[in-house]
This record gives sequence, structure tokens and C-alpha cells, in this order.
Amino acid sequence: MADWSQLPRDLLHLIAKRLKTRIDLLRLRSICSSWRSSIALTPKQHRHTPIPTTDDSKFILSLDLSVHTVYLIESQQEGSPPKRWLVKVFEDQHGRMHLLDPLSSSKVVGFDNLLLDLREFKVFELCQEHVLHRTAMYGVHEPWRSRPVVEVDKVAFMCVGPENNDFALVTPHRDGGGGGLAFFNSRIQQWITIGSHPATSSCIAVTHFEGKFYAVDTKGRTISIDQFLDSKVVTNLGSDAYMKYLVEAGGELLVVEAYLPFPNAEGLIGSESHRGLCIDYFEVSKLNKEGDKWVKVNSLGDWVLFLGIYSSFSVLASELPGCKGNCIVVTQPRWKEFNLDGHDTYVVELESGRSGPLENYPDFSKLLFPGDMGTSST
Amino acid sequence: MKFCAVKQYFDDENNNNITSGASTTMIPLPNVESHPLAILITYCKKHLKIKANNADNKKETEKEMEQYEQELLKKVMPQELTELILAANYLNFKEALDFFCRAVASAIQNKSIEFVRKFFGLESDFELGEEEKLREEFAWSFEGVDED
Repeated sequence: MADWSQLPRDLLHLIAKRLKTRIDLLRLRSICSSWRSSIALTPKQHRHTPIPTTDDSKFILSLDLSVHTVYLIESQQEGSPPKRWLVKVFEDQHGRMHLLDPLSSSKVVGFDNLLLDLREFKVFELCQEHVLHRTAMYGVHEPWRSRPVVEVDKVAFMCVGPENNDFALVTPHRDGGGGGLAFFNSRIQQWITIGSHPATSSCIAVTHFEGKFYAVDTKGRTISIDQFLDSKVVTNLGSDAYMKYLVEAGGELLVVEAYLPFPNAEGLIGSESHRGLCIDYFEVSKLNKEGDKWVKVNSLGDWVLFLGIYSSFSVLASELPGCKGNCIVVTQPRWKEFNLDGHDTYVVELESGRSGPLENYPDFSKLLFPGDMGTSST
Repeated sequence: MKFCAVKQYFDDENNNNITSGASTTMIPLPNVESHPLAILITYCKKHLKIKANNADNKKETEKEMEQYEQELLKKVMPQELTELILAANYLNFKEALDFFCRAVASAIQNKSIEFVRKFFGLESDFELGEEEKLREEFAWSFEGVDED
């Protein structure tokens, strides 16, 4: 029988190249010292990428693209069923890791330092979320206000180019208002405005699906744009829904519309006097094969949708111990005297229409940190 | 191109005008055992057959090939994969090499380091200082306190 230690370096590289995640590569490097020296560690991509700003933005000091990654991690203790957690991780430009809430992407604090040794976990990378950190200095002429402010924008990201070395971004247009989109290509290093929507609508969801960007606005208009700025219109959803989310599940693009119980209920969202989920019901549609029509979907099947502030993702219920499929996990802002005071997470069962705070669904709540991580920290 | 090393041999033979018929030539393959060679020949024949059956439909070829590959993997022992990779590499059989490398990657992905060591029959020979460096690579360290 052949001896694996005699495997020539270039063949080892062929195997290493076919590993899908960085963690698998780290494991292969940890087998023995000669393999460690044979396999190089590729640098992490797009951890923190500066982006040029548009010419007329006098107040913007810097614009940076950051990546947040969602993982499903599993730890196994002898004699007990495996435990799983959803973690969203952000590594900043200094290499420091931050734990984020999977839905609001806000930093999770208030716990003792946590050290996870990934060698003790199975790690499944679920998806990546990209955001733009915009550092702006408003009130330059008013010294008491001149403090840099960091704003976060949702962005859809796509690798482009022959070897996927370049990328394209699409983000709801900020400067000058309007419902348009801003498009950026890393090769051209310039922002281009797309969409001639009137100022009464604004783009509320963007995503990347099968080589194209998709964006939907408050009026329900949906367009797809490819990297060459070729756009296609998808049939209108209408503007009754309070919020729309774009998410991929099972190889299909879904749009989730959240409806309020009555027209002016928007003011109640997360307010102190009205705690609880203000959304009356959700409607899900999927993009047809031709990519030009939204078709209503009655059930998500085994899928669970996690609808976040900046992006959304889906997981099969069978991957989440104890959880039911055909559910939506959604976050809602909480307001205290007109200031944002955090987010609350709710679980919605699409079949029955029942919903409740995350605490009422222990199988879901133990998935999100700290959940029942308990004594895993070293 | 399949079995490039063998084809090269034939080309050289023809150039030298030594033999007249390909069917009677014996090609020495000192680095390949008979068992992996048999598998590679079967793989090659199957690939050509599937390609011929689905001449115009590339997607169908890929689908059928995938199904065959899944079946083949069930019959191959993980330990045999080294021999197959080395044989495919020696024979310059690119598609088979690609397939078996993918098979190894699938077998070890998201498995523990101990499993991967057992799979390859290798043992850790790291010194204490190196083990520490490894731990750093696998550590996710989160500070629970807000710096602001």
C-alpha cells in the first residue's frame, strides 16, 4: 500500500486546492510538519477593503468594505447529541475577531472573553454578508459636532473577472436620495448610479444570486443587474408591504414581504408602548426560472429563513437540532425615546401564523450565542 | 487527453518505426500497480463511452459521469486513493487525477484532524512550540467587552 507521506508536493497541492473552506485547509496543514511546510496559507480576502468615494461627497472621510461570515458550528461531547450554534463573525483590519448577532449584525458584548478552539468543532460556512462602513465628518464648521461618525450600509457583493480577482458591489443610493442604486466595480474603481426611480421610492433590499444582482424598492419594483450593467425588470410586487427581504433558499431566490396590521402601524414598530412583533403576516414569493416574474410560495418546506438588517440567509431545519421548518426568524428594532435601543428577534411559524419572541422558542434561541454554549469557553 | 504518458510512448514508437501494430506493443509502466491501472482503464473507457453516447449534450455527459463516479467511489477503499492518484499522475491522466483529488478532498472535509491523520495513516510530528502556533491558527478569540 502506498505511503501518503511520500505524496509529492504538487499532488498534495491538488488536493488542498479542492478543499472548500479555509478551515479545512488549516486542518490539512496540521497533519504533520512536512505537510504544514508544503501547504501555503492563502491570505484572507476582502477582510477590510478601502473603496474610493464619489467625487461630490465632501463629508465622507473613508469608505471600507467589510465581510461578516455566518457559520454553523457543531461540538460533540461524548455520549450526548451534537450541539450547534449559528455564529456571525467579523474580523477587522487589525485581525481582531468580533462576535456579531446573526440578524442585526450588532456586536455581541456583555460576556466574559470567549475562546473557541476550532479543532474541537465541525465548522460549516453558511454565507457571507458584506457591508460598507462609511466614516463621515458632518458639521465641519461646527467644532462641537466635528466627530467622525460611522454609518453602515447594506451591500450586495459579487466576484467578477476571469479569476474572480475583482469584485462588483451594489448598494442603495445614499447621496441625493432617490430610489436608485450605486454600482461599483473594483477594476474600474468608480461608482456608477443606476436606476431612474423617482424620489418617492427607495431601494430596500439588495442581493446577489446566480451571477446577477437583484434589488427591490419600497414600491415593489425589482430589477436584476449583471456585472456589465445589463438590467432586466421583474414583475412588480406592489407597495403595500412594509418591508421586503431578498434571500436565497434551496437554489431559488425568494422575496419575503412583511405586512403591517394597518397602514400607520409603522410608528408602533419597536416602540416602548407596543412591544412585540408588529408584523401582521409575511408573504413569500420565488423568482421563476426565466427570471422575470415573482411567483407566490405557500410553504418554505424544511427551510428556515433568517431575515437580518443587512442581509438574510436560509438554513434547513434538519441542520438545526429541534427546529421546525417553514419558519422565519426576523429582527425588529427597539426604540427608546426616539433612540435605537437594540433589536428584538422573533420567530414566525408560517403555517399557523403564530409568532413570538425568540425566548419562546428554546430550540431556536439556544442556536444563537450565548444559547447553551455554557462551559465551552476555555 | 487520456493516458498522455502512454500516448507519448506510442508517438515515440511510431517515430522510431520499431513496431507496426499497437495491439501487440507492451508498454512498461514500472510505477503503476495492476489494480489501480485496471480501475483507471475502466474509468477511461467509461468516460469515452458516456461522451460518445451524449455527443452533443455536455450537461448530460457531466451528469452521467457524476453518477458513475459516485458508484465508483463506493467500491474504492480510501487507502487505495493514494495509489490511484499517483498512478493517474504518472500516466498523465488529467481527468482521473482531478476526480480522485476531489474524492480525497470530499472525504476529509469538515472532519477532525485526528480523522484526517488516520485517513492518511500519518502521525503528528510537531514539536511543542509548533503545536502552540497551530492553536493560534484555530483560535477564535472574542472579547466580551465593548472597547468604546
